[in-house]
Amino acid sequence: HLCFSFSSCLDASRPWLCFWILHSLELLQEPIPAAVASDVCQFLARCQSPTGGFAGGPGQHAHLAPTYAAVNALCIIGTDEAYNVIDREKLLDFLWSVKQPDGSFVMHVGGEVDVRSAYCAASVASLTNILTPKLFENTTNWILSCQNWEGGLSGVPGLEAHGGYTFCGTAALVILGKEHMLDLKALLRWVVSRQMRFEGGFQGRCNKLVDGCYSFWQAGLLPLLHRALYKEGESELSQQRWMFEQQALQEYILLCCQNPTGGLLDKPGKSRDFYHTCYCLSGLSIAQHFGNMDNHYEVILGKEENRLAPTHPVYNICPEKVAQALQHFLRMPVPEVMLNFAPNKGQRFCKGSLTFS
Amino acid sequence: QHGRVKIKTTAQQEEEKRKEREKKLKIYVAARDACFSKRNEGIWDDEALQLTQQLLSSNPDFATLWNYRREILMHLETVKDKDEVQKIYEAELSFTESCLKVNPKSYGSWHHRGWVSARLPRPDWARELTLCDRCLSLDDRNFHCWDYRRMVVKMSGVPVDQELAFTDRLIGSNFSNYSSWHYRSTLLPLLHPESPDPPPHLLLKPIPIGSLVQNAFFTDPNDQSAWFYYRWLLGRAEREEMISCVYVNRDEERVAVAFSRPVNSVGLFLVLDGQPQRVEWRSVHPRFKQSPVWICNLPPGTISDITNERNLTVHWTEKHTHRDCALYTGRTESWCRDSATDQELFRSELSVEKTSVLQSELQSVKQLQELEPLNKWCLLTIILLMRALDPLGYEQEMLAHFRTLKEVDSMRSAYYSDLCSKFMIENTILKMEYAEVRVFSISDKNLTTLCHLDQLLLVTHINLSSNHLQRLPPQFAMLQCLEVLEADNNAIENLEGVYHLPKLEEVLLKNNSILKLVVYLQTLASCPKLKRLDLRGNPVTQTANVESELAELLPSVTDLLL
Repeated sequence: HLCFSFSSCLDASRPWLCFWILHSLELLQEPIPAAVASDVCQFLARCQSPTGGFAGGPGQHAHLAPTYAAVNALCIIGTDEAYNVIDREKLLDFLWSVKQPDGSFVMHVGGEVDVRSAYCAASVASLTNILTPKLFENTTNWILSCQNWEGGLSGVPGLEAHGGYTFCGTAALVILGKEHMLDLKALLRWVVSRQMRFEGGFQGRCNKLVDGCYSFWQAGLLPLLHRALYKEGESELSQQRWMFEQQALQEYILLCCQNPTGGLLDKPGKSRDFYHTCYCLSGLSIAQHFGNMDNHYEVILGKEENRLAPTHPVYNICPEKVAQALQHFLRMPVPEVMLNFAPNKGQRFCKGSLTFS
Repeated sequence: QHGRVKIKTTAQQEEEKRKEREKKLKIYVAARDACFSKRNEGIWDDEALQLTQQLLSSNPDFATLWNYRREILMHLETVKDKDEVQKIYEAELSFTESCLKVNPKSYGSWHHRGWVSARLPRPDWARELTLCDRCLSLDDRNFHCWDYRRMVVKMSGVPVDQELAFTDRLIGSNFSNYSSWHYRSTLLPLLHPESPDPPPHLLLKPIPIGSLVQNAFFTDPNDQSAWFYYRWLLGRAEREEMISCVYVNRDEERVAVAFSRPVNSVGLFLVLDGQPQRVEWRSVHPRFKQSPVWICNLPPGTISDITNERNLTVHWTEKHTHRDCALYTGRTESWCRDSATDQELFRSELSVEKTSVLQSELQSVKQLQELEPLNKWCLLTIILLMRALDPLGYEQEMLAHFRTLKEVDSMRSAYYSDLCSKFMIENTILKMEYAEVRVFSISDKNLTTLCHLDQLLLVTHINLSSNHLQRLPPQFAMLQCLEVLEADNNAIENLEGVYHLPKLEEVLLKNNSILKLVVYLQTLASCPKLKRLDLRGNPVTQTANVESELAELLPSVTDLLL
């Protein structure tokens, strides 16, 4: 019998491992050897589905989460070999196959809907230049319907506001240029209330415990809100600090979230893993760096060598890698949708097997 | 040797573990590859069900295998009879239950169970509710389970009051159950669908919600859940987007339109005496793409003749709404406006019933505050309750509570100062409405920030002196009718908002912090009627040649005080 302790089996999340590790290394400014980069490219190519998008592992069905992770990982590598792995036309087909008429996306054909999918779709579509307004028709309104009276966003309309989903919804709207349609003030009030007064880290939802990974999902909202409010003409924004206690977050991460043998974690007592390593480091980077190219202000707690590279608050890969990818893919034309779809049901017939919504 | 147990060394144990893992990995990979090849060949048989079951028990996040399993089940539906299908799907429910026991947060498991429940020939929704109950008793914050419960409730038609009773039980046993509070917030509006405005959650009979919430925060005043929920209870319905004011002026041949929230000018049209006008709308300040106030100028001579009555209509096609404004003979200006009280800008209208509920809430929270004088949530809630009940009547008490709040939670005193400023501005607007004047006077009120400036479109005189303001932000440009600005004795260093105010004649800024005047000269120069400028007591007066520079760059200012 197969009962391992597979409680955190990642066999369906292998592109995520690539992203979590590559992103952690780039934040630590650790160069990736060319051979390793090439290996990763070849592996991710095997995770790409023949019908478009990336799957959790070779032979599996495409799924928006590993698609997001794979595209991000390839953009971190940033070589032509990496960019060339992505089959843009098929990727667009895949996105259409998971698009729903109400504006939402299912995570995979036959799968569940929640706001992560909109972020994954918007992220990969914008980076690889396959984004068209039609692809995201009604998506803005669907995401907006996830904002509730608490001010944050839930995974689907009607549930509690949650940090991970709030980040996904907000970042997706930023990509679509519609972030001003959120109640930004309510969102701001919700997210700043999520920083814990004793721990300094962030909780995922009201009245839950702190967790290192929310250092990115929650704190990462402040740069997005800062920019959105600035665009709305908000005149009382700081020119040096995000609207959360940066030093306290750094203390939580450095003092409470490190494993003495390396790697980062949720909270003391928990074991390390690559997911928490990635997101604790991403949050640490956000807490260290304010601003952008033109106006940059740093707050480094502890030694200078604690400084991490800055990360892009929308995509969570380094800003230069975002720029480089955009530059590469914007030279290519946006592909046309090849096959005749009913984008609403995602019904496709292929090789005798029936996929379904 | 016989009779002695051989004790393995750590290295041996490690090696054994490694071999064990490798063996299991081999089995896993073999099963996985077998699944994939079966699927590629389009085989939907019992062995496939067995294999996927084994793999999913170890890895319920393997979406591909859930898909395959669904394909197999759908195929079986076509070849088995109804009773057999019922059995198969019931077995499926047991299977997902065992998966959920291992990982109650697996998207794949919950999604599959939902899929199965919807397809069962004879679903047992009561059992599904029981599953949710059990799952929530283990983790009452599991949103997968809450989401599943909502689906079950919807499919089986569980009445709202039964679900409310369920939340009563959960909250009764654990006040920290924020998810239960949240679920309540989605149920209450369903109970009173006929009354969207004011918000239905204020209609609390017959559910004594006040007492439930009170129990929560009396038991643990530091628990966030009840306070956040409470704040929602006191909230107002969202204001719909509409035109709140249209203002016309013959002298500048200018039309200003104010909206209930920031909008862009798409779909905004002007019709004069039945004739559409070609105009260009601009926001009050170049910084705003979205603005609550938009302005346009009519071609010269269009409305300047004071002997003619003109009828203006502003159409907003985005929301299929419009506003009329008649410009009468002999009148230089005209406007059409909803008053702040009519619009229920700052609070909801309360019935006698609701007022008495909230009054008793206020008494309770005040009692709690006496027991817990250092609890900030109490103080803040008292303030919010007072705002809801009688903003003007409770003004002095509110100010006293803010003073205490700033001591008790001193790290946020700047936030409280800004919040208090906002409430004082709201009160001043209300007083101005009642007095029916166009003078806004709020001096010596410890103001640290300005807001609701979109409500001051018609104001001709504003007195902000003796406060703690640091800037007149771009939003200040919404005061399109302003003639006199008094802001002595503040800490103002930024005049960005004194921008294109066509009627502004006097600007009094004695004893402020203005230093870099050159930066703001352009903005001041954009006010064509500016005659009097008082800059005494500002650091800028120490600058060399300031008087001659100002005289040169602001020639219309005849009365310059330095």
